[in-house]
Amino acid sequence: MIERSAIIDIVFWAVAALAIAASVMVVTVRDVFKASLFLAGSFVAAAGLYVLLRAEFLAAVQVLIYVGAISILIVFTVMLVRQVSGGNRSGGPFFAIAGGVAAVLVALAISYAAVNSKWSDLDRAAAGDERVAAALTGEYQAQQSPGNPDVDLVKVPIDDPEKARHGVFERTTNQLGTMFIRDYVLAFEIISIVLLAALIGALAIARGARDGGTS
Amino acid sequence: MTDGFLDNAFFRNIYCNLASSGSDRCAGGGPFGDGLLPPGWEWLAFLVTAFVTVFVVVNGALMAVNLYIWGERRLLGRLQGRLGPNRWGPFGLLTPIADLIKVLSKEDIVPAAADRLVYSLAPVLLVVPVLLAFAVIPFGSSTWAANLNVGVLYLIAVLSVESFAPITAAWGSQNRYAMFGGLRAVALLVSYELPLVLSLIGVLMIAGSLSLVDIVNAQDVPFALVQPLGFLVFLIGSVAEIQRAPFDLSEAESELVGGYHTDYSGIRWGLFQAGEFMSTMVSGAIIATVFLSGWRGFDFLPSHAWFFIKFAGVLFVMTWIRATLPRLRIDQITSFAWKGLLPLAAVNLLASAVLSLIWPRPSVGELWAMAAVNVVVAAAAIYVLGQFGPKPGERPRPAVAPALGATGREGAA
Repeated sequence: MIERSAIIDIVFWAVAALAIAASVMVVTVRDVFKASLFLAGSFVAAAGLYVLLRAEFLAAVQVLIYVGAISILIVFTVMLVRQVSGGNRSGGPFFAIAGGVAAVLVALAISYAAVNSKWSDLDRAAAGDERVAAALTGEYQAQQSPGNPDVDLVKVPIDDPEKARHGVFERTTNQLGTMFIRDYVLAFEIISIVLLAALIGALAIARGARDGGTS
Repeated sequence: MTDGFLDNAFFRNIYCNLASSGSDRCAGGGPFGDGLLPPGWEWLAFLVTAFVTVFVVVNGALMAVNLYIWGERRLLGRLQGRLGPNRWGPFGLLTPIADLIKVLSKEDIVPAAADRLVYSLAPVLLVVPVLLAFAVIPFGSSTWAANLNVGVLYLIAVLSVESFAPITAAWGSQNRYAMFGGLRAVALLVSYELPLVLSLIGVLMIAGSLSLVDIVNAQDVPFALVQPLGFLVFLIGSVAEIQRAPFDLSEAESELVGGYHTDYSGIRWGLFQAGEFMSTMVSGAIIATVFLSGWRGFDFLPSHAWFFIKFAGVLFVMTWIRATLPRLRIDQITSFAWKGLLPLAAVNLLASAVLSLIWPRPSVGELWAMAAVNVVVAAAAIYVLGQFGPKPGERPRPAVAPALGATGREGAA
């Protein structure tokens, strides 16, 4: 007898193996074009992991931005620089050591985050523990604090058990949107300024070459 | 797991006939009463249901594309003053079958210089995303393979993977014609994806959901009327994204032989052909669903018939465009995307945002009011934009990189 969670486990190990295999290929394959294809493959596998975590919005955005836009631009650049097709040059021991140190640091950071996350809470919420789910999600409600004439939106735990159980995973899009324009609005706006600066920078570089600048 | 897929009567019938009774997911039981499988085997019922669904959707799409290829060729024939395929079967209906046998039995040639792995991967990268896209399209009032709560985003994401196909084919072939075709294709795809996505956001703001089913349910007034500017941008953007005439310069046969699939033959070429026509069908289905109120209509026809009528109408318009307009140059295409469609999509986004602030949950009357405002906004925006564009007959100086251009700047560099 096999539970449905066992199917999910099988899918998880398959997707995880795919992600690791693709990532290993990215750094071992000599042909840069193929490496960028494998990079796109590992992005897709990461999106699969997001689906298993029931973050569908994040998964769709991952595919749209990382696969559909960033990987495409990488491949496009590789195609325009044809010299790399025969294989990239080896950077020598310095690059190997620097890359190894960076890889270890990233692995440590991810392990730290994985160990310190309260996975058990999420598991209990997913298994239908309404109290945990309500505490994890919450809902924005209008409240008026004394002395302050303005109505403020405050996050309060959900009381309705049915709503709470579905609330954790059902409406991630709305939750992300609310978070972006309330709790993390400063980061959100700073990122848009960074993107605008990048856009203007790209324009300036392109125009400079045409007007007889550095070409 | 969410059991949302059991909302669909088709899946519920399969699942509840297989899974044993007593499962609370099958309240009321299947048509044949008790489940066929013993308790504890619900996972098998789930797998069978999923497999049947995928089988039906994929094969349905592949059958439908044959019919569509026949229809488009007949229609193109009529539009160009000739007969079109009419020999094999009644009205030539068996022509696609004959074509399929021909394509399957042709020799599969791989060029000597080609990168075998990348070369074989390209047709797959075109066909698989399109087949995935069919999963979320609601064909009738309760006929869909999946009602994702991020449906529209899923569609955009999956279809954006398709842009890998031309560039992979180009690189795999190691052929100059294919290379130029692939570079042109990606430049076009990257440019048009932006206005395409932006033009959808207005719809999402009015519907208040990313699910395609919710979007259809929200269309008491078809969004083509509520969002005329968005509809126009999305229609043009879709025709560009699927690289049909007048945006088919990536396979311009007069310049590039066949573009990125010059070297392909046999069933690999057949997959490219099927993939291109299937992405046209997906675009038609998306437009019918998102802007033309999908399966909704008047009661005298079933919902599937309404969907099919709208779907066929969009495909007719796309074929009509293909038969009418001449091919554009690459600089015309990209500047049209960045200087034409993108500002229009931005104006539409701004107008929709303001309107949905005024009417957060629009009633039918408010939807008509939005439609009236948006028609005025659309007309004004298109008129103003028309004042900035190139005049008829004017040919702007092409912006060419010094190394590639013939503008006489090589000496200076």
